[in-house]
Amino acid sequence: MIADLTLVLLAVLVYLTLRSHGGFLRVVALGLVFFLIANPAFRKKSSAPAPVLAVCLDTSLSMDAANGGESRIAAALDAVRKNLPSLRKKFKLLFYSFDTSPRMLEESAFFKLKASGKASLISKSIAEITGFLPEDASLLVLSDGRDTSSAARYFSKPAYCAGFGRNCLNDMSVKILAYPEKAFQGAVAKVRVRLERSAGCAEARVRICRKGATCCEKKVLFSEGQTVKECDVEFIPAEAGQNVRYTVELSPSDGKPENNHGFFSLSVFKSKIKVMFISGRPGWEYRNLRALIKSDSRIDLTSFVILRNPSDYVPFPDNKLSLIPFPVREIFLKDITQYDLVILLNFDYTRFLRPDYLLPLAGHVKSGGSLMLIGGENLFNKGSYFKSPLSAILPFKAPLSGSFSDEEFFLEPSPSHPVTSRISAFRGLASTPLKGMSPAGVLASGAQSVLAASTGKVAAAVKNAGKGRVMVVLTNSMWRLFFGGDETSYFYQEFFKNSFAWLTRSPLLDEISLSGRKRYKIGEELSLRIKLRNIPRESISVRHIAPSGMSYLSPVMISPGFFNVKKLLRESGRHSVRIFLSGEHGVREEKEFAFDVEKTEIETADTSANHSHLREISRLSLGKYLGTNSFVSSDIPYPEDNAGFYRPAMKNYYLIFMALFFAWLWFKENTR
Amino acid sequence: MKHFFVVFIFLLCMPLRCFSGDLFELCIIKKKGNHLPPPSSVAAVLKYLASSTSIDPSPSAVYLDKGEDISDYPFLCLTGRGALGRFTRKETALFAKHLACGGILFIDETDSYGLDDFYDSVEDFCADIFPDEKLEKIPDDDVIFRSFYLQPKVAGRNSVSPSLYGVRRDGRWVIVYSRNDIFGAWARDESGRFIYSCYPGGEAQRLEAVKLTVNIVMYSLTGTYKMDIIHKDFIERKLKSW
Repeated sequence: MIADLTLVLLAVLVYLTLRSHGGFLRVVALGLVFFLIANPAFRKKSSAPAPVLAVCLDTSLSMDAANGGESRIAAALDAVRKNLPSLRKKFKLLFYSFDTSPRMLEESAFFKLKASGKASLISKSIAEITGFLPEDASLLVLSDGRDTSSAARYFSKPAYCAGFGRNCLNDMSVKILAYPEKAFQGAVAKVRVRLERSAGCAEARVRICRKGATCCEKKVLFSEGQTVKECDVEFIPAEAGQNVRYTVELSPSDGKPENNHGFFSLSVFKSKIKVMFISGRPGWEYRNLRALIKSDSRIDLTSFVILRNPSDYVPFPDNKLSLIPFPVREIFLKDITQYDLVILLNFDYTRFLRPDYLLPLAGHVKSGGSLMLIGGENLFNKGSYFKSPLSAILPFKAPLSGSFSDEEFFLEPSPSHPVTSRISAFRGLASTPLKGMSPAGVLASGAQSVLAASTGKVAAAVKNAGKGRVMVVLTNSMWRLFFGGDETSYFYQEFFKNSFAWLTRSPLLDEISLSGRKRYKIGEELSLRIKLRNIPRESISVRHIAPSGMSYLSPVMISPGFFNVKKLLRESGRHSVRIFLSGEHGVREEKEFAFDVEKTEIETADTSANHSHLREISRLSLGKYLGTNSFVSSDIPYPEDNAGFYRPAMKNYYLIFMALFFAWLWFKENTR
Repeated sequence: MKHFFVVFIFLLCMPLRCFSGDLFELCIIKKKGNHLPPPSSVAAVLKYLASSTSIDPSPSAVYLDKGEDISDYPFLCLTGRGALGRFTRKETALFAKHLACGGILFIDETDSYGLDDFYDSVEDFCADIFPDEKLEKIPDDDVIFRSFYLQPKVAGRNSVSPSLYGVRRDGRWVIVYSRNDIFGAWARDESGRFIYSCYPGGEAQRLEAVKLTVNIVMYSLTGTYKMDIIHKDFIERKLKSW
């Protein structure tokens, strides 16, 4: 403000000084004064090169589909040809083609392109191309919008998309992206779906159904201009079982109902496991273990304790006792198969039942049940179980000799077994002695030690028996850990909880959980989500085993403990992905994910155009959707950077100039 | 002579060593001035448990001075008369930790002299161990009265109170307190005769004391087992048959 007033004052003084001179000079001086007061900024003459426009053409097989009289790719090339002169005036043009990956081409080669790619990874290719381009570049994308990958991408440069092919105007589709392999009955499970819409309907409803009945429904709202949305739909599996099939349905119905549904299958585990716990006598181990089981709401416990042996004399009538008969026949011959886990604690069966009563239990374990034997003086008394039908499934061989040992020992958990891997480093175990161990021989073939004793013996071992699992804990003095301090008490609880989970194959103990689709078409991208129970200190490696050979995949960490694996599938048949967790002691955990790739190629199975995907790319990249089957070059804006094209106003320089000019005039007038 | 001395020392140390597995061991806390149960009664209890139930007790009880490491012995026993006396903060903390971990403390009042001194001191002792819990009457229909025998009367050598008292924590009784001198009802002399007569109920009262003792021990080893649904019908049917 002061500068402006000073300028005006100087201008008046100049005018007054020149008042006595000729009219022309006064007008010139006045004009100069007004020009300087107006203080204009001058436009620079730009020498910057023309901005780059990458012309990207989709050459996947679906672009070969008829587009009226000619193919989509021919229509796209015609549209480029038509706009080429006007585009050249504004931009420096670069030419790219893409299907699964982008390729840079000469202009002449570009116009000879044919549609032959077996898949089209549009988002991935565009994201890659933007990485090659200079800062002010933009992209012209010519495609039918059929993307075989569903991954959202980050586009650093604006993409102007033109869609080719006939697009269903009123279409909405749903695609299942991921679902868990395992879930719990009555607990929330999530399915990840991708919804696409062409136009119109701004609201969709996704339903998850089982045998026609709706399990859950989710309302999905599209914001203005949004055409693609990925979301998690939560549902609660009501029934347990293997390969429980659910369908995903999308409403409202549209012009293309075949893409409004999908299905997936998963293994649903019981929310409550049924446990039969029989103890040969009352004791601290029984009391503590029972309290632990009772505190777990996921366990439905049926328990029997032998409170009185046949040889015991009670000097009171029977109706004064709270004892009930031990229903041997009902339990062992009839009901045993209803239990997911049978625990026998220091139970000498020879006192109560014949060996053949154990046949149904052995059969039940082999067909998927589980058994836990806990030691004591009576457990392997006179080698009882080693002479029973259970002997074949036990993780120990019969001892040559020996009886219940009175030896003191400390527990050393195995760092490699899932039951103890997370609790193997507790120092408190080395200061809490246990006493008493049942006699047992060496480990049976296929058995694995879970707990070792400091004496060198195995204190607990596990074994897979058919479809079921067996664990034998040779000591019944683990209750002492409860009194050894917080750390050992925690170990006791975790050891048994983990053991129950391992024995019943509960997903709770899975080191590796996988989520992905089980069926693909050639040209589709495998997308597998890996969740690790422990944030790994070990390395994770992933192998893809295709019918023609094996290759390594690179897992990408999304967040701690969560990884993604992707691969374009080019071969039909049975595939599998093997995930290995390796540590100091070699491979600690291994898991396989098998899936099928159909012979049908994704590019030919469905050639309908999907312009909503192109709209979404335009929206996300801050570009523009140019239209269908043609485009106008003027719709692609020329990037202008105003900041660099004007010389700034130079008020201070004008002020100094005016001051000097007036001083010169004054000096000249007054010193004559 | 030297060998005899070594064996003698070994035998002395034997009761202090914990037994293997999960045998039932009765641990009696010794305290200056308190009245210990007659040794014959402790032996009789253990013998009865071995012969009438499937509990495998160690042949003798363990005697520990207050403040000693009790972590190997989940079942603790404290007896006395007049007043329980003061426990240091360290000693009460040891009890608190042990009982919270799963241990149980049985307190038996050997003689009340018609006063409530012992009861008051037990109440203070319990408040020192678990300030948030209160000593309360154990209801007649509690599982402790069904753990082996059905509904035994709260009896002992005396019949000071018709109720058992206790401190409940996390749904279980961690302290059980009898005012009727239960151990006194078990005491026998060298010839096998009972030392004390039970008053006022006589031998019937003694039998109730026997039943109650077994139930308390059985409760400590089985917890809420007899509350399981599978037992409910049987127990109700038996109670109706009385």
